[in-house]
Amino acid sequence: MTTERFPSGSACIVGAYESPRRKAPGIHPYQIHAEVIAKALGDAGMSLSEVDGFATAASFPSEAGWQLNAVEIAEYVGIDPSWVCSTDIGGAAPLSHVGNAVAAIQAGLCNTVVVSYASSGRSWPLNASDFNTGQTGPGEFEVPYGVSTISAYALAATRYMHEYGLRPEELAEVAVQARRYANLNPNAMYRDLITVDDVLASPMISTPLRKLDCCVVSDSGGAIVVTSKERARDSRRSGPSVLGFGEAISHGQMNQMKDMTTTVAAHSGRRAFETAGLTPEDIKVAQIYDSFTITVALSLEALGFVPRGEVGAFFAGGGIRPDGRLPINTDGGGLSSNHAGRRGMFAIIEAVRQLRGESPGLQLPSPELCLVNGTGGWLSATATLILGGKQ
Amino acid sequence: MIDMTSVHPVHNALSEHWFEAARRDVLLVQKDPATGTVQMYPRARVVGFPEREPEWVEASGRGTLYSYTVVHRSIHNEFAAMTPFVIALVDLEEGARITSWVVDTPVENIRCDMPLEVVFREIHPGVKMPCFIEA
Repeated sequence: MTTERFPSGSACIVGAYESPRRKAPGIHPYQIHAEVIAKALGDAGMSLSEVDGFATAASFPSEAGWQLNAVEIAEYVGIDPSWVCSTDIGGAAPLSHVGNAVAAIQAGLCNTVVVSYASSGRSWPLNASDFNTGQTGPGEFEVPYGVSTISAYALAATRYMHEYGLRPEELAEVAVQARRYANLNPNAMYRDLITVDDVLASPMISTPLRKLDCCVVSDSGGAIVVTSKERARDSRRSGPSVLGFGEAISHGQMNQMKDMTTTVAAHSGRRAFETAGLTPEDIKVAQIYDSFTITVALSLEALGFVPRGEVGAFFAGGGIRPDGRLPINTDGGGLSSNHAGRRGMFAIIEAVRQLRGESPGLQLPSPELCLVNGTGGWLSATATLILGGKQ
Repeated sequence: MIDMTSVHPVHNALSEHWFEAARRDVLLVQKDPATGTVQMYPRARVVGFPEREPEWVEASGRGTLYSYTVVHRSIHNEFAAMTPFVIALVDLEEGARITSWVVDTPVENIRCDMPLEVVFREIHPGVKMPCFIEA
């Protein structure tokens, strides 16, 4: 076992902004990049001229990225960075960008990094495949059978239910709680309260996942500003330090995922806790990537919040309710508020808002720490951040 | 040029060997000559040991169902026309896992860990690939 190293506490998130857009037909994603970068910098009290680091991932068709996507978006916005990062680990990418931005700042490659994200996930006018990879190479042996993103997660859900007896009504609790917080959030995509019965009555998509087990599909974006602890002292707003970080990758094809009842958050989470010098017991609120209800179930166990096989009882016992052990996705999550393609960005922003006492959904009383866990692809990759401790 | 929205496999020199066998109702897998470990999907080299080339071997066609999902909705025209269909992850008795379909089996009979045996079906026009039935 290696000892994980990360410059814990050396950089802070001083600006954060989530676009209120949810349905934006005709609006190009680069317009949203420019809007959210301006707002995040405004939040920090900084100007673009101070930005010398840039990270984004825009390789999905709905992100309009094509090749060289970070280069083109930097060009569109007018950023001239000395450090650039376009790591693509799916929806977990923004968490990876933040962790690597902190390391780059500490190494002296840059001082102030903008991480931005935008996608026309709902309204993109060009053809976009529903399949995980192309039909060449590894995908030749999986794509012809029609393994979509939803059915990939459904395969994991089936196996988990088989091994541990998780019931659909227990899993539905994740969607019900998300909607409860979305109900408070004026920008959330869907706000009408739902019940477990509503989830179970929604159309079956790919067994055992129903429509309300699946995240919303929106057009939106967000940006955050990461800078050194020294620079953060002079910024307009305070913001949390990045205390812990870890990332891990698993598989590209579902037939390569060895154990479908857990995720590599077991590794990224362990790395994040170890670098922060914290344990799951220290965390009282978290943002857990909720592409699907099952994503949350597997992540909570992999991160060590719930013993293996017990997440159904944890949900049934109110574990993620406002007064439970671990309220999660306090803005309404991807299941009800916002999921344009890479939910990781919005999960980080909600963690920052929660720590600033500004959640638009469920604001907890003075949380000191917030864990963010991103899951990319089809349980393919994870990244975990632990934020807290104002500079 | 190939239609980007197509789901039909685009072969290369390596994969063509596997698909050619499937057209003859033969399921090939690859074996590491040093350890005997079986790997799928086919690769040019042994996974994790790029200095070694794997050997092709014929699989028995027997396996068990690791997991499955019954697809009721698809946004892809070709699959939307096929619903409901059953995507399966099958653990072959040789030790590798492959993606496939369970076919000709009532959905209420399908359960994880059930024994399966291979059949070959033209799952798309001109594309013959292994599927599985209850053993």
